[in-house]
Amino acid sequence: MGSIAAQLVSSHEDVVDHTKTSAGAPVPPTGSGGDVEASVTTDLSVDEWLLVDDSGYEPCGLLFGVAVFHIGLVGVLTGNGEVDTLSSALLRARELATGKLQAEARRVGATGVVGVRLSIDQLGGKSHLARFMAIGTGIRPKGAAVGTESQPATPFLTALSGQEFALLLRGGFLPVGLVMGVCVYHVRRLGPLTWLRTYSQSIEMSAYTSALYAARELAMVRLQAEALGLQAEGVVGMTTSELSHVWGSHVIEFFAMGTAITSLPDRQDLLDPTFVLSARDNVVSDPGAILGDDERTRDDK
Amino acid sequence: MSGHEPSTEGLPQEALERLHELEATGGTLGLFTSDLSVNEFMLVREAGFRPRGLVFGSSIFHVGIQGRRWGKNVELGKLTEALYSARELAMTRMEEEADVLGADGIVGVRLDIKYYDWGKHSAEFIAIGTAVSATEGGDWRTKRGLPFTSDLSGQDFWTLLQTGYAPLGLVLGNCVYHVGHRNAIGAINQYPRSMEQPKITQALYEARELAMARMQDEASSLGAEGVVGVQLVEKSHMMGSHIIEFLAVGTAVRPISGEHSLALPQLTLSLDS
Repeated sequence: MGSIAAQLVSSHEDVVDHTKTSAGAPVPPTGSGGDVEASVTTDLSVDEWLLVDDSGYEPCGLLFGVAVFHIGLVGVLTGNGEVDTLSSALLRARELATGKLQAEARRVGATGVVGVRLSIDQLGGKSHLARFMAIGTGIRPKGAAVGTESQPATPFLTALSGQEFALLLRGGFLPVGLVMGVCVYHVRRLGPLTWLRTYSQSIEMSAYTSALYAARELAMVRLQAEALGLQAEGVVGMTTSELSHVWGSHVIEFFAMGTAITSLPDRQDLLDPTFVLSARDNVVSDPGAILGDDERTRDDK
Repeated sequence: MSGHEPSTEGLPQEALERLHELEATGGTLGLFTSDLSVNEFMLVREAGFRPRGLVFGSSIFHVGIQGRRWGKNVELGKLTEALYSARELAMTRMEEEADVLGADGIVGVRLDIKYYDWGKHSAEFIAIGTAVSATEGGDWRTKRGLPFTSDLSGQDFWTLLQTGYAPLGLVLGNCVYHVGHRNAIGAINQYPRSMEQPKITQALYEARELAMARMQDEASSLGAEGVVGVQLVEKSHMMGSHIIEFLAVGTAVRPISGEHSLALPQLTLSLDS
């Protein structure tokens, strides 16, 4: 495999003024219970805010973490196989971004961050630089002061929305963290003889099948290892994706992500679901969503 | 619904490793993974099941060419079989994974097709879902001893069980059809008038019926009472606009109790925008 130059280019710590919150207002005095109430910026929708509030939590700011990484390939790849250096680079870049998000969360006294979105933006051209950003809204139990012992060292991160967080809590579960797994795989070009042989037939390409199947499973194994490390009971909301970033279609990143959860037996409420018939017109979900190229849609969450 | 017997031969080593890791062993309580949303997760539990693990099957299939006459409406049987087999392979592997977990069934199955630039006329067919096990045990598998499969979401799964039915299997029927081109004279003659194109109407009608009939046959062979949530999709994939694949997908169901009733729903007006 070719050698890779994958390195951290800059960190947002160089630019952010730590005496200010993300909203620009000065950080409120700690411990006093706050007779000065700083205003809070969040990206929660009204429904999310109400349900988070109903669960006994309050938002404490829109938070983000950024890392810019060089993810280009140096050299030529041959053969089929995992590109180890890229796998670790892509994971590391995301971990840096989420790590900074957690640091921000700690700083504003949040016990967790909901609605976390991870985005990757290529910074264009031949630079092969990509900006990894993790953004979400920090929350903490209502009335908790910043910097007390009740604040955990590692605020949990979750991609779950405010509503999903509230529902999870009612069911007696708590998110413990965002878990991820990465496997970058290089697929060799098909030789001309193989191409000619298979041209007219309908047949499974078993070599490719096993390779890509294994790569996806590897990403999921790694995600599981993270969940087991957090001593979680399970993972919900898993997503899997395939991305080629700046490399061209022969190099594919298989990425799996989910929210690890653990149960709080003393907090379990009876859910008692009932049927409702909405008086609002229903939107018919896309019939093509069951298969093919479309983004998956499911019933209203 | 696949016809193959599950065996772990088709699964890569990494899959077996991943699935075994999920099980509770001596010291640990095990772990579950799922692509269920929180809503689905809660309702699957309410229905008396617990998620075991995300299960997944894949097959990279090369779809060959099949000759056809330019003007003729005809099913392209070889392509029908190819697209069916590809999905079947993916689903069989997904079922094998659920079998390794000892799960009772799979909910939320999603069939997907991924195209890669390096695979001309190839595509990756994927079947992915969440394997579940009944907390109180019971007989949920199909009569052939395989875990049930369904494309029902967690919410639909709970609703189905409330009405006294259980899922048996995801059933699908397809038909790849070539719609004949009109010849030039015919096209010119008809140009200014609005009229039905009987040739094309007939072709599409036939293709759709073939797909639906095949889906129904699968349901019958499972011993199902009916099929719910049927979706009919028509796609050309990468085959050009005169070739269309008609696909009918649904979940075959069987009754688990003599009574089938549903609580009367309450009327609500959501404040959600």
